[in-house]
Amino acid sequence: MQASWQRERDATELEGLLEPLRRRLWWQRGAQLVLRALCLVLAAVLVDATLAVVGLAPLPDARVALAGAALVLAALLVALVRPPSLLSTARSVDQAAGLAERVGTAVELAAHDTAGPTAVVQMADAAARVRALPATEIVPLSGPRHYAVLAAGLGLLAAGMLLLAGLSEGAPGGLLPLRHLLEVVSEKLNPAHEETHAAAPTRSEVDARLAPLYQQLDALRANEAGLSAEEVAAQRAAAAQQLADLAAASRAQQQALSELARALQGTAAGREVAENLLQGDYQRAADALAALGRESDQLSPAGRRQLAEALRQAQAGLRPLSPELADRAQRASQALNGRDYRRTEQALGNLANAVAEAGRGVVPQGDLGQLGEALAEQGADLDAALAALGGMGLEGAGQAQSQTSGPPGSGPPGTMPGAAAPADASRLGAPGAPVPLDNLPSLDGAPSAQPPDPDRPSVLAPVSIGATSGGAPTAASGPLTATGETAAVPTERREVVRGYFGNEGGR
Amino acid sequence: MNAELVNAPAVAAGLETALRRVLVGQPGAVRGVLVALLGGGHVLLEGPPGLGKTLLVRTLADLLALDFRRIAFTPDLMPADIIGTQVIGARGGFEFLPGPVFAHLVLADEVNRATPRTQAALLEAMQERTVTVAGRSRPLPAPFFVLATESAAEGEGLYALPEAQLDRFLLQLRLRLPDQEALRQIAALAGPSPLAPLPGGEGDRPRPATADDKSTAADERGAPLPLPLGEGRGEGVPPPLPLGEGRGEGPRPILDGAGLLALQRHTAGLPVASYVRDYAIRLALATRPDQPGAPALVRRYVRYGASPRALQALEAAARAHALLEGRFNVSFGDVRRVAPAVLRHRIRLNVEADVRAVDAESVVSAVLAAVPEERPRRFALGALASWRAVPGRVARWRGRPA
Repeated sequence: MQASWQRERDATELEGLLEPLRRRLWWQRGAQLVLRALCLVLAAVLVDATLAVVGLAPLPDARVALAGAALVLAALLVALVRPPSLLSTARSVDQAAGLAERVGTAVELAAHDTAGPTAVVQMADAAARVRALPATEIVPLSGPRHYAVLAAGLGLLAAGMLLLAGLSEGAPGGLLPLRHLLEVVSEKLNPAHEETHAAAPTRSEVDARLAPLYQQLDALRANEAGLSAEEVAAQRAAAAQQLADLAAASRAQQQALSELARALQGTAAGREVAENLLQGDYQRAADALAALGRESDQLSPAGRRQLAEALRQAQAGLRPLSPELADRAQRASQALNGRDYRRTEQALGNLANAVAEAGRGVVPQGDLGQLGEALAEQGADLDAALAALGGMGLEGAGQAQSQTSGPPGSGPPGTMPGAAAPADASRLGAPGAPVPLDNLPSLDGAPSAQPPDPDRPSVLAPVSIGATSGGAPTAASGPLTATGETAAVPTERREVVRGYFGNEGGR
Repeated sequence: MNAELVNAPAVAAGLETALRRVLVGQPGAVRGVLVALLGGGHVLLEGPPGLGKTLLVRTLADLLALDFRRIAFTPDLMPADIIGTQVIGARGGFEFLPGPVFAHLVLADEVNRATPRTQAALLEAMQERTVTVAGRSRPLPAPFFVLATESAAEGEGLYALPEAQLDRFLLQLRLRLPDQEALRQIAALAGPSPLAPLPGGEGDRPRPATADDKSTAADERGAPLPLPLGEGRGEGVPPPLPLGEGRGEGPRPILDGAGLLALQRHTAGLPVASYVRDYAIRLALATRPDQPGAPALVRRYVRYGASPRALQALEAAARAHALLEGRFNVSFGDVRRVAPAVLRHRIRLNVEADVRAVDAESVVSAVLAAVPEERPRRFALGALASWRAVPGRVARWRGRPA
């Protein structure tokens, strides 16, 4: 009787001693389980982000985040719905304190209502042992603490890797503003970068294409005495025609490249290309585009889609200005939408070649202005020269005019709608000065609504004295001669030349 | 609370300490003998001569104030020489003359030198704790403890104990030669050599022969013990010797027979938790070559494994070990510590093991390594919740036969 009462008392005391330990153990194991799951998720994100940095995998997206959150929630759920039993607590206490299964045996004896002196002594022994131990020693929280530190470290590493991966590609979610901020800071810290880009362009090839016109004018000046006045006027008019054609073609290419730049400016991957295009560094832009093609396998799917969409939209605007550039932009857009990296590389490389070619076709406005001045100094009256040219019946000249020049704009001659005033034309005389594209005076007065003829020879075609850039067989093949049988030079052309060279051209 | 039970670990520890003072350099053997004594079993000792086996049992008898007899087994020893015989008494009727087995502590020296018939007589007495002579069963004294030794030499005239009789021993202990430090202590304890007594000392004078002297002389001859009639024994259970009487300068007793029986009773009542018992069962099962969890060594070299009696012995020995450790419950450690001594003589190896010199000791070690203790379960998510359990699971999975 006394043994039974004593056993009951010991069992109650043991349970009272174990209950706080059970709750503490529940908390410890739950926290440890959740933190382990978190470590697992963060380690997976870290690996994924590292692979994205080295270009072997795309950046982790929202699905990865959802899966990780689900895993952590599942661990939390398991921890909440499965508290440790009293026997499990007792065995954990035995294990942690090295009690050699004393407490576990006592709990089993209490659970089975085992009577007898041995059971009483055993339970009393176990209760005394548990009473003497501090809870922090039996159920230490160092385990969850270590996992928390590990999770924090993994989280920092994963965030760093995500940031690093986002700097070269489309950054996910909230990292994009941070990336833009870093770019702004970087540009502010390194302003020389922009100047280097601006000073880079070389236009020796285009300058060389103006050399025949200079030679033509020199020859005309030297032989002026042996020629009739009509012949001199006709040759001057032909030179003026070539200059106008060259300026119009240059203008069209410049507009096309500007259009492409505007389209690419909104993409992360094409921003560098766009900036180079806007700065007039077409060769560098072409190189950047080719490099983008070579590294297209490192683009994230989102980045590819963004770039493809930009090129698709650009090709619609490019079509009237440069069909070749538009076609290549369209092919690049299609390739980017596919998964064939080699095809993408090839398409972007072709687009880069087209950009470089178009860039070479853009004549520096300063050089054109210098040539116009030289022409005006010799001819004194461009109107008279153009009239004489018309009087000599240069059919090709008229055709070329109709092909290269669009309908006059609403603004004054030589300006684009909304562009700089005619007074700005005086600035064109500054040779080599970089002039913002949007502020350049236009030869056509307005963007050409009519697309240039793709069969028309490129501005890169060699221009020789006596040859016109028009499509007429006589004018294109033979030297420039005045026949006096062609239609008069249209008024628009005079306006174009006058607008381009300013009022001085009329002298 | 039961004061006797509460003091039981201290008494057992005192017994062990006193034995260790006498038998130097053999702590494992001392612990093993006490485990068998408290567990109510018998011990089979293996080892070279001169390691103090007789001293151990004699000291134990002194400490427990129990009667001690030594039987030297020889090929011509008959069962009656052990269990006793009927003789015609002074009144003309038959009287039972008890054999040397009628003692509390019996040292059966080189038990494998006797014929199987004689061995069976002793082993039956060990198991049944009674002796049947002339159709009448006579109970052996309680407590009754046999410590048998085996001759390690091989050759003619040896009769190896069969497995069924080996199973009667709770433990098989192996004595090893002591190391240098132990030898130094043994030499210091020995004192002056009895072979060269000091001139003029007590050793020069003749001393009257005693019963113990006769017994010792008979032991040295290796002949059956000539037991004088009615000398200190009589019928039935001989009374324990008075303290310090007839035993020279042996250690003072710290327990008597009744105390030892109470200690054995307390030991048998120690609780075993279910998961510790499961561990012992898994250990016993793992010694069987047909079990899926058996290690490769068992599957290859074991002919048959531990019997159900081995499991009982494992629990009994673990209980005694727990008491000697000062606990009132059995732990995994107790089972692990006693498992080699309990299982090694119960595992029968095959011929290939003999050829490859694989002994039962290494097989039991492999079993202990292959069977993990059951840890408290945490959550249902195995690998995620307890990564440390994975290697154990892999090991168990690898241990399964293809």
